[in-house]
Amino acid sequence: MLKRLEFMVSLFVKIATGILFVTAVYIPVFYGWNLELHADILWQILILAAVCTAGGILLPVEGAKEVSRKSLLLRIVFYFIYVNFVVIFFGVFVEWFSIRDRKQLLGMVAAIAFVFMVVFALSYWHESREADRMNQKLKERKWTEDSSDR
Amino acid sequence: MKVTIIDAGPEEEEEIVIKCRFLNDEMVTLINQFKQGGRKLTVYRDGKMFFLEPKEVFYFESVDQKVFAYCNTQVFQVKSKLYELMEELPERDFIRASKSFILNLNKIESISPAFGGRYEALLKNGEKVIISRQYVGLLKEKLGV
Repeated sequence: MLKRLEFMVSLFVKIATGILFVTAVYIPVFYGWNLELHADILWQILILAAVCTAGGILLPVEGAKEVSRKSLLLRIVFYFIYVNFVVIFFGVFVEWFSIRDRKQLLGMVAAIAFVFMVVFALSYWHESREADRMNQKLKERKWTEDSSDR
Repeated sequence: MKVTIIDAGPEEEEEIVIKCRFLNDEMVTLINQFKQGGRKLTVYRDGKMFFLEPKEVFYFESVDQKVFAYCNTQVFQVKSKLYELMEELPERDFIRASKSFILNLNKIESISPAFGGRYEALLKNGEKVIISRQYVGLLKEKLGV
């Protein structure tokens, strides 16, 4: 349960950062640099990040029951579809973009794919760091073993 | 099984007497453990019995209800189940890597991330073993990460 909570909080932070970054790029591209925004947008970003994070329940966490590679891929695909659906529905609802404007819609889909890739890249980077730590501990362990053999 | 311990007299030699109707596999393993001081594993290959130091084993794998011990170049069958082996093996050196693997930590060359929270252990003999997500936490705990 604690691992799940940790995972969801970490996912929320990554998604919120991703949305913030995409918003910073999306607004000047489609609306120019002089657009005035209300403080509402900050809450909208947080709410959207929270709803996207909720779908993360599909993804397995460390210590959870093992899932096959195929099942994992399917879960990721479902999660990607869920995020697309949520972002587009939410974006239209709060009037970030119009569903009729194909450029804006495509821009948003591309942005979602980008955030998705960044989140997965960050997860991979985190796992690589964990692997480095484990490798370091293995080296220390080997050194201790060798010393005790001498 | 009933266990009886009898005080030996000061002049008497200490001995273990096994009273049984017939010698089953479990009994043979127990006798061998006594003979070997409990340190070696009883393993089988081509119908012959061998004694193996746990530190020689790279990993144990369960395949079709049979458990095999993989050494550098040789493979032996083990009569124990994986969960029984976990109790017999030195706790510091062996970890459960997945439902069907037990891995010797001292035989790991390096660990790298695999897809979806799993890790891949490259062993010193060049083989690769997946450490499933379920057991990654235990591995980190054992390594002190």
